[in-house]
Amino acid sequence: MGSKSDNVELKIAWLSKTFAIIVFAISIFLFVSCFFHVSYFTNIVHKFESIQLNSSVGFIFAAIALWLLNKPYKPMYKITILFCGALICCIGLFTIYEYAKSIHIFQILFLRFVEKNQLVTTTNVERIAPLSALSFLLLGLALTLACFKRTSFIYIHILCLFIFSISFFSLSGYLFGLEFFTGFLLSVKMSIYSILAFIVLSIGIVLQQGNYGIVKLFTDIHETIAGKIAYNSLLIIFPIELLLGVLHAQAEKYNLYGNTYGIAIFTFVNIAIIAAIILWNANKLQIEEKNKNMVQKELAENVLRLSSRNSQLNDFINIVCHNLRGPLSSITMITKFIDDTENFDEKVEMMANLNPVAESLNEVFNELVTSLQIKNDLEIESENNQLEQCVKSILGSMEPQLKKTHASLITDFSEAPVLFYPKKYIVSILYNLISNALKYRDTTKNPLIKIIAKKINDKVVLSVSDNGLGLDTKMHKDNLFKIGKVFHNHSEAKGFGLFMTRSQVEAMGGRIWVESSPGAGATFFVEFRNQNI
Amino acid sequence: MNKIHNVTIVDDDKLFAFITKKAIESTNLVEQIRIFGNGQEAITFLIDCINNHEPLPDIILLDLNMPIMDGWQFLEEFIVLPPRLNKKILVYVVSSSIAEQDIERAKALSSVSDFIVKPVSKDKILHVLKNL
Repeated sequence: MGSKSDNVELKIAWLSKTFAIIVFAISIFLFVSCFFHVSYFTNIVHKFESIQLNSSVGFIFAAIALWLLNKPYKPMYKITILFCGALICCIGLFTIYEYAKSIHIFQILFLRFVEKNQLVTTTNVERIAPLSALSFLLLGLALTLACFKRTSFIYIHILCLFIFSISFFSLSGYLFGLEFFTGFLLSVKMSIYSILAFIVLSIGIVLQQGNYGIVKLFTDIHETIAGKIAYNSLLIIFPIELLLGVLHAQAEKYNLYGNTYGIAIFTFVNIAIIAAIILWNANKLQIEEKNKNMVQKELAENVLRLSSRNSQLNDFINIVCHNLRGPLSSITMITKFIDDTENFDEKVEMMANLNPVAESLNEVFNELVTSLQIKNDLEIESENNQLEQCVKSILGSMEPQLKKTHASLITDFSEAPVLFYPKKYIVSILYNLISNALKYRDTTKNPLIKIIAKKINDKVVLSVSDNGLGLDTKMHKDNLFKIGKVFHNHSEAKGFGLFMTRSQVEAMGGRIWVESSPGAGATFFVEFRNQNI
Repeated sequence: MNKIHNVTIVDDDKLFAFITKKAIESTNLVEQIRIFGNGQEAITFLIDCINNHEPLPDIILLDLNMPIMDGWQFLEEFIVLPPRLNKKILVYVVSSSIAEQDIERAKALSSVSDFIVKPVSKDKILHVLKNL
């Protein structure tokens, strides 16, 4: 990244310097042409104004200042730039003053200079066009500001944009023969050289400011869609408009068509070009947006998957820290106790304690392995399961328990008889929820378990409700579906069932929650996604 | 050194409670040791003590992973217990967990004096008792 942006900065600086050299060379050439009154060079295009000597002097100084701006900082350079800037400002100001007072300051100065030095010239110094004068003033200001490091690039960009706009405005006026534009502000037009010089200088100064603002739009083409659009549109619009202008000027020169007709054609062509550019960009944006949406969707899915994986990892850490380390530390303490105690009876008593601990360790370990084997929706295949049949197969294996507890079971799968899910998981989920309902039954009543499937949009919500002990959901909200969390003093409770169920639900992007209060039974809800089958 | 009047162990692991009790007894520093199987039982006991103006425990050894009310929930309730007659109760979290998050969470609580990782040696118990 660093080397790339360095590269861009270098290129921009190089361009700015090149512009300075071009302007300098042409200005010198024009200065000489003006001085010796070579009208062939000073007025190159038909009907265009010729450049003035004082303008060419202004451009020479501007080119020097731009060149120095691109050099590493030296106090000497700064003074020179300030001098050039001030001089250019003065040219602009004096010209405006000339117009205001209807006098010819530069002409008088020039004639005196020629007389004094006894030079031979046939040229004369006219007033600079008012728009050029304004541009000079802005240019001088921009150059002066640019040599102060603290100036924000925004001010300089704005000044340069003004200069650029004035010149482009005048250029369009020339090309399309619009007297209103070119004659805007008195009748003196800008010369074509001045227009081009101002355009090049304004771009040069903006470039000198580095990779910010407008420049950034162009250098960013590979990074942002906005950059691409700005780059393409601007690079197309300006040359096409200029080309059209030249064509128009040529056509007019040879009287190929009438003026009104021409304006109609060009208006139409312009609209067509702009419409084409808009459509082209809109199309590009649309493609980009589609891609973006797709990527975002993928990203969202990945985030979901990752967070489910992360919670699995947290569970895993929890299991290792609490459920595996617990029995391990117990074993350590028992053996230490056996070592330390002198009493033989105590030794024997403690030995007897080792076995249950080892067994529990074994059990936790097996559960851990099983939970790690739960796969997510990308890794396991789902199938269509008849819920009625699933429940039947579970009840078969629970027959003795159901009989012993006098439990009755009601099912209603009329809304969603089929569930698209891994068979192993849905059986396990149902088994755990039903056996929980039996395990935490209220012994004063006969257990009544209701299993209902409801369809909501593309989701199926399965609810298993009982009339058992219930639990305090407020108190246990953080722990409800975590491993090894038990909420009743119950010998059978180990705290794996709900953890396992949650893992099997969340791995497939679903949700599980419970509504309950102590003594009022509990209803577990499981939401399954993507059930449009 | 004065004898400590009362140490309370809150742990659902009966074996751990038993062994720890034995270890504490063998130090001959404590008069009475109480054992509770979960946070709820312990909180009920503490509230009873306060209501009946009975002596409160000096030290509580608290497990984290317990049924009904776990160690964290106990600590939440413990903080908001009614004023305890200027008596400072030292709470030590004693857990098999070596998870950094558990240890940091426990140590961040002002009511918790220290985090002790199981298995607990006799030396560690002596250290706790002498720290009072």
